[in-house]
Amino acid sequence: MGWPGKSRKVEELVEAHYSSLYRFAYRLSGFAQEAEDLTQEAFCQAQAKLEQLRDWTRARAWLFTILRNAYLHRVRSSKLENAVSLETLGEVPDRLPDPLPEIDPDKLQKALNELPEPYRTPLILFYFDDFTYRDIAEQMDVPIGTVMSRLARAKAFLKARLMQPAALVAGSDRGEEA
Amino acid sequence: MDCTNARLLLNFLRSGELDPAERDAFEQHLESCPDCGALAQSEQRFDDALTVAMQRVPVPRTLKAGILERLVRSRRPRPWAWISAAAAACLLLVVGFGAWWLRPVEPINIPGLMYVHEAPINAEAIQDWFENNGVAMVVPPQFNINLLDGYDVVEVQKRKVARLTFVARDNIAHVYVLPKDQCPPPEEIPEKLPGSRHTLVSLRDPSFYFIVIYTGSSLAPFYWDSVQGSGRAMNTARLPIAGFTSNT
Repeated sequence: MGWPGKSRKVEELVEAHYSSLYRFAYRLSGFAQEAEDLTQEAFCQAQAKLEQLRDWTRARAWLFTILRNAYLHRVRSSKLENAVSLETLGEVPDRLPDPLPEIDPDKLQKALNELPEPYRTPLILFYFDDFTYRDIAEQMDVPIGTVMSRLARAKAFLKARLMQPAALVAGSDRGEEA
Repeated sequence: MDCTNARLLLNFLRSGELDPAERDAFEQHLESCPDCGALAQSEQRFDDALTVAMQRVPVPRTLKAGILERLVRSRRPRPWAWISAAAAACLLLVVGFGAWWLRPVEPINIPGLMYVHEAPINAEAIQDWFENNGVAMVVPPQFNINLLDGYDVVEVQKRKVARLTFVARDNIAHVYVLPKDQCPPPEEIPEKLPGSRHTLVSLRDPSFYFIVIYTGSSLAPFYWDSVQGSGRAMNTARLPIAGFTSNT
């Protein structure tokens, strides 16, 4: 494919997906500048290997995979990942307050930054971009059961981080009732 | 469906992720069990709140323009790639030249040199020497080997050829040994070039032919049956140029 046709197609991809790709990059990396850089890099890589995209209905998943790989490459080379172990979750509240307080996006980002990447990515994809379990499994190249268990654990971790004070209140309320 | 199974499925409430039969059983259980129903609602609220928070990421206004600009830049030829390649080639050249310049130089092996001169001369030893130097040849049997002054591999019109030099009194004969398969004999060889003191003679062998360029009136002084030689009989006849041509 020559440059004129190729560049037009890439520009179509940019138009359709740049904001969702940036949001994914931001939630993945936790930094605006890095998210911007990752988004640009992902589109440059997409331009270079556009021939690999045979099914245009899969363009979004393809771009997300490119971006995730670019992020993982950076993390591996700079050893930036500093995630907590999910073994130390503490107590996870199972009943949440009603109405649920609004989740602070910055607090959410801090909690996401603490999650190891194999748990963070499925969580972001699941909540943010409405990927199915199967899509996530294909994208991460892991079995669907692994995606489900990682999602469950990551979600429990977020609940513990984001809802703990409210849950304690709710729990004490329940205790009083009993 | 019991409460244990229902609570396992709470994480996977999203429509389309459970198969229809499982979803029906799950929903029926939620309607009949207030505890699980409340948990499901709580889970749904958390999912909704998380979805909203997850998507609340402001996108920089300059992002799209930045992406398009970088895409255009990445399409341009990159001069630094050429500069890097040229620099690498120069470095390689410098390193290679340095290695060649600083290479250890072996001193001349004096005993080896003396051996060359003192070694007994015989046709077999000469043929072995040429073979070790990658050149097939035979010593022309009619030549008196005691008159051999030297031998070497020379390049003749881009071909490696064995050359023997015989000296008899004041005359010299250079014998070029040419394999017929690699150097097909020419159809015509002039006996004497205008103004030259050398005479050309072609002698034959099953696999080789010899071009002899010599001074003097004939090759007889270089042969075994000459006054200088041992008296061994010639076993290959001298062929005039024309005869050589017609016999090949």
